[in-house]
Amino acid sequence: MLLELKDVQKFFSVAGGHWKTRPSPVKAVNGVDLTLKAGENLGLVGESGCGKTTLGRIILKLITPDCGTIIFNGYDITSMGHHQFRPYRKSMQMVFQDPYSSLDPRWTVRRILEEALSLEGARYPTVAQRWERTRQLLVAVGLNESVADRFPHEFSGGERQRIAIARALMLSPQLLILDEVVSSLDVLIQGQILKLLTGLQTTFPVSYLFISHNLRVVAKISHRIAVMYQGRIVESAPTQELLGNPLHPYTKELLAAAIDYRVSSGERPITSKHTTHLVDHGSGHFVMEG
Amino acid sequence: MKKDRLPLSEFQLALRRFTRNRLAVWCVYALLILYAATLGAGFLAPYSFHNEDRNYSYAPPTPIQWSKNGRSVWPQALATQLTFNEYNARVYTIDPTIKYPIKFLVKGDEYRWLGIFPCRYHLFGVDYPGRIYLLGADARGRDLFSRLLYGAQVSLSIGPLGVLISFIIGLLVGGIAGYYGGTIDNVLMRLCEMVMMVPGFYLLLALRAAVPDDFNSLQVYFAIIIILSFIGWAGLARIIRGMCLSLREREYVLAARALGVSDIKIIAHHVLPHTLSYSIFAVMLSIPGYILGESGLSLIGLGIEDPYASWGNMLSDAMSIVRIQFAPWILWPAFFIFLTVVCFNVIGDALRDCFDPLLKGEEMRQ
Repeated sequence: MLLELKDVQKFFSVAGGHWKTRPSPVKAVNGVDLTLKAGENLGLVGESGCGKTTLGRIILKLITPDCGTIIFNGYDITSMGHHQFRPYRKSMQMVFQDPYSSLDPRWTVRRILEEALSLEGARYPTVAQRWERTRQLLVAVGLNESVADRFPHEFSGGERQRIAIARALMLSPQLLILDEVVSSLDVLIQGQILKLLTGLQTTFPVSYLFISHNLRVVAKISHRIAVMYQGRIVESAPTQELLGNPLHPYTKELLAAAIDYRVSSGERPITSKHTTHLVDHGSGHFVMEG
Repeated sequence: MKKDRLPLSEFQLALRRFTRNRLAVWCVYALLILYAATLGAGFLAPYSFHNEDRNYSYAPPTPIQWSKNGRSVWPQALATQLTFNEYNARVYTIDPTIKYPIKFLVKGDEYRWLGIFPCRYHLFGVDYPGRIYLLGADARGRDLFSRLLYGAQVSLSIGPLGVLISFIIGLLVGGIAGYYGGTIDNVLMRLCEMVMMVPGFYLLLALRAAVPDDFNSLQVYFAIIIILSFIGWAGLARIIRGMCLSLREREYVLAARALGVSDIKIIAHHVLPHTLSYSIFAVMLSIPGYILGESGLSLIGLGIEDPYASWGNMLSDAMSIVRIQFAPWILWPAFFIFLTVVCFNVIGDALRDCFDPLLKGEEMRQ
């Protein structure tokens, strides 16, 4: 198992009010269990604000969870200190949603990419070796090596996202968290980036955790899909199973919105009580019931 | 126009916008002249800052004869004679019989050019026993023009040096407070507020009182710089902290954190450079504060001490209205302080104007 999340929680306290009138905290991630096998692509779908981005950042330890455990490659990384965590950090990377703000506007592409290598000084001691790696990644994501000395603002959104993907792959991670990577791109470019991501898996042994609100996009790249709703996973199943046989009402609604799937009326309301739990429906299909 | 020319960099765009502001460009020239003059102070000044002649106390600017009977002649400095009137006040009368031709590259008081090379030559001067006072003399008969030049070395260098120190402290403190937030932010910001809370000039006096009496002039000079920058860093730190609070949420900062780049490197490489365009004009606008601070201290005798010159302590002569009435030229240092402060302010404002649209543009792109 490459990645295993057990009952991960993260609440954000809300400012304002004194101790009596203070609003209750936002339950961004409210007890999530998730597993990801090496070589498998997991899609994480949910509407805006359901906690999927927070979950992605928790896995990378950019946000510390309130409770729960994160097991990466068999090691519990939840309570690791900064130094201990370093070797694991290299094995998981992230590509962010907005290609316009994820690249430092003052840096050239070469400097952006080589920043990662500076952490691996022992493996890439010379300038020539670093440049060789940079060139290799630029070509891998379908860019010309001549772009290295240009600035991010000279590129289109799709090209920027390619640069961001190249940066994330610089240290050959085992897990790549793709946080809404294609959401800000138009449909044609979306297709190209998705094709690129699938293609990259033939050269780089990397698994994707693909976070998106768009079920249609997620279905194209994932082997398995988990549906997240109000901070909890409400249903998870292999892609074909989930698309063909959605069991949770929220999944059905998502499908209805994304793909032409007919929802029989009257299945609302969607429950999200804490007493609910995932129930196995066979062949890896889990649904929240309660 | 070549079609494939490189897009203008942010700096070039800002420079182009800056040069459109005529007034600011003139101010840059004025400051350049002033700073160039401080470098060549020893050479440009006919006398050293402590060369005095009590017979010329408050002597008016030396009259210079340019023409004789309608024909222009080599300029000559006319001698003046000191007499006392019935109220025992000094009266200088021109003595047309004695003239001293103005000479160039004359030998005079020894000085060290740039503080290193000993040299005796001055740009201009007159032969002994004549004296030339371009802008008049002070109470001890020292040349005001020479002392203005030497004073500029102190008054003009204190601003940039003080700003440099407080700028470094402000950037570090603001950067760390803004980037980490939480308790660190709270502690550092309360510290800033404690410094800002005390009215600046009183803090200045209190700190000056804490400096030992037996400091020599150079030590006092550096003590003043450190005192001034100790007061100045807090304001900058607060603003930088505010900017860092928003900058740290940018995704390229998150990306660097995800890569495992150390916090200090992220602050230095990804956060602080983005506050630079703001910091530049903040620095320009805060330099006058340092110049005025030094002048204020020197004016009340707590800064640079006689015989060393600074614009502030030269002005301490002008604290009595009678003296100003009798010898209005002792106000020259005030004029130069005013000129410098205005120049820095105009340049600072112009810089803000030419960086602002860029900042907005950057916000929109992201």
